[in-house]
Amino acid sequence: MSPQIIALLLEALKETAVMVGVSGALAAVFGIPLGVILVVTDRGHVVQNLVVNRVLGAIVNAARSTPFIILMVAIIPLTRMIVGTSIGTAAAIVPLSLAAIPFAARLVETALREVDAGLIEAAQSMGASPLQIIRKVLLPEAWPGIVAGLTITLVSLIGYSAMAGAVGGGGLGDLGIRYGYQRFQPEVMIAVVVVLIVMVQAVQTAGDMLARRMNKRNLSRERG
Amino acid sequence: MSQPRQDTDPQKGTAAADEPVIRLEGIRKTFRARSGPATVLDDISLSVRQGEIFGIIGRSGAGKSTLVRCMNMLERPTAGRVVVAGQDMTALSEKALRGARHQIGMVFQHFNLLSARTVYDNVALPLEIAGRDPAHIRETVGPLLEMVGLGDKAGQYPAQLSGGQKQRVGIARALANDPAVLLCDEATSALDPETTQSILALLKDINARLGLTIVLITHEMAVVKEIADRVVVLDQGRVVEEGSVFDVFTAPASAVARSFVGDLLNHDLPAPVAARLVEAPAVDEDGVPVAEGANPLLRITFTGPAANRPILGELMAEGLLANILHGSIDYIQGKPFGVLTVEVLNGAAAMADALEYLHAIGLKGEIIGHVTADHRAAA
Repeated sequence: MSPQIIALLLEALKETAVMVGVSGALAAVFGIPLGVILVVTDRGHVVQNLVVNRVLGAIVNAARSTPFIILMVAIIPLTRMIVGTSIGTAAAIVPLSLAAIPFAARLVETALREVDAGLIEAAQSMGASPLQIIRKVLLPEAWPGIVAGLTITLVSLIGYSAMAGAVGGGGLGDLGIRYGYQRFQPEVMIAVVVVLIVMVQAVQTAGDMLARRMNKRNLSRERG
Repeated sequence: MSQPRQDTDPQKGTAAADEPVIRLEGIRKTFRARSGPATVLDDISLSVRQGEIFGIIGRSGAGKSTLVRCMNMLERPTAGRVVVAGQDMTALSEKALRGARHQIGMVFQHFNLLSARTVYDNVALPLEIAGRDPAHIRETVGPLLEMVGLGDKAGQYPAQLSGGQKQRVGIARALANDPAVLLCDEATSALDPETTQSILALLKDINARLGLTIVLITHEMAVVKEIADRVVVLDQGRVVEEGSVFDVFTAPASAVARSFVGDLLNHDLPAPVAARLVEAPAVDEDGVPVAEGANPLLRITFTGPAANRPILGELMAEGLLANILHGSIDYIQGKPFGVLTVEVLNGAAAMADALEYLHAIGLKGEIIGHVTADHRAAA
């Protein structure tokens, strides 16, 4: 492979990493609170508010049912408002984040619902406020599940980011399409796919490891 | 039979020691179900005295878990008043209620420990929630773990502990805020018998050492018998019996209490004897059975001071000819309680003498039926 191609590959890798990294971080920053709100406002939970719950749930569902490529084009005005342009890596981060936040929120919600209701009751019996229950019980107990959910989000983002070429976002997917497909350089395509596979593997392995380390539920008992 | 309460003290504002730690007045709890409103608790009034171990026993579905949750308002009663340590819980705002809950420790059947926190941090949790400073937390948690016998487990996670150890952490956690009362919701029901004993011993020790009032919810009479001072029997959301554990045990008034006591003491007749039982044999005007060999069964219940006397020997000396069929002696709150069932072989007159004798020394004797003698031929 020529040095130019390798340089292109590295540049594309960097762009993908930036897109996935930034939108992944935003997905965590907004998705975790959103997931928490979806849980705690539900019926019978610590701050039941069915109006908030149903409205947020509907928004999340709407965002999740919109195909990414359509979402990307549909929100171009919003993207322009936020980053000043609708073209480039920075511009791609807006739709990526917008798609990832509700996705992550649902996964966070699932992880939080796994927390035993008895633990919440125990905290309530100690006089914990809803905020204390969220901070000291729900989130710490759900961390392994939340980390697993964010890992899935990152992996999905790597896939979505390949479509960012449609708005000139660059990245590995864009490189693969332009050089591998349109210029008919299959070795570039193969290189792109290999790099993507390695990336997904690395993210998944790191996420699994972190989740396992956080999970204190399966520690074995000491003998003696 | 619901006994009237006697806690209505005419003099308000007497010594604090006389004030019950928990007073429930007319507690009613109704849940909305698909089939209409379901009443889980129906007009429950009771008082838990300072320093006692108070048992609440009932079959599953009797409402006991809901009742204990009314005490710390995890369940808000539909009607009635809950007064804990002089504070009307039903009148408190959410925020004030959270403060009041610091005074009420709770222990759960399934421990409800946080899996992500170490033993130490689990016990520290209620202190963090109450906003105690780190120095206070450090001073409190260590001694508590020592007290429950887990001084060496501070850095372990709940998953690394046995059931009994987990419940010890649960107890230490419930004591962290130095509560006025400890609520135990089926605290030993998930444990094996041996571990149950050790947890009950721990609770008893805490009660004795700290003078801490304990409310114990259970479906096991053995638990009540082991450590409780007083007990209420709950059935279908109502208090059907209330009294000292000894009284409820030795003279259960309600059918539910009788079945609980029977479960435990096994004073019921063994099946081979019960099979030969004839309810009411034909008798002549003197009460002598007409049927050949249908002998009366005399059940003697030993309680009180006379329980330590050699009753059977005394009765024999009085001329009773008796064949022992079944018997057991139990110790409840350190006091002996025995039941002996004998077949009287020498007729109604001897039986009448025996009953009179028992009555004279203050023991309970009753004819519980008759058995036919054909067992002798069979045996």
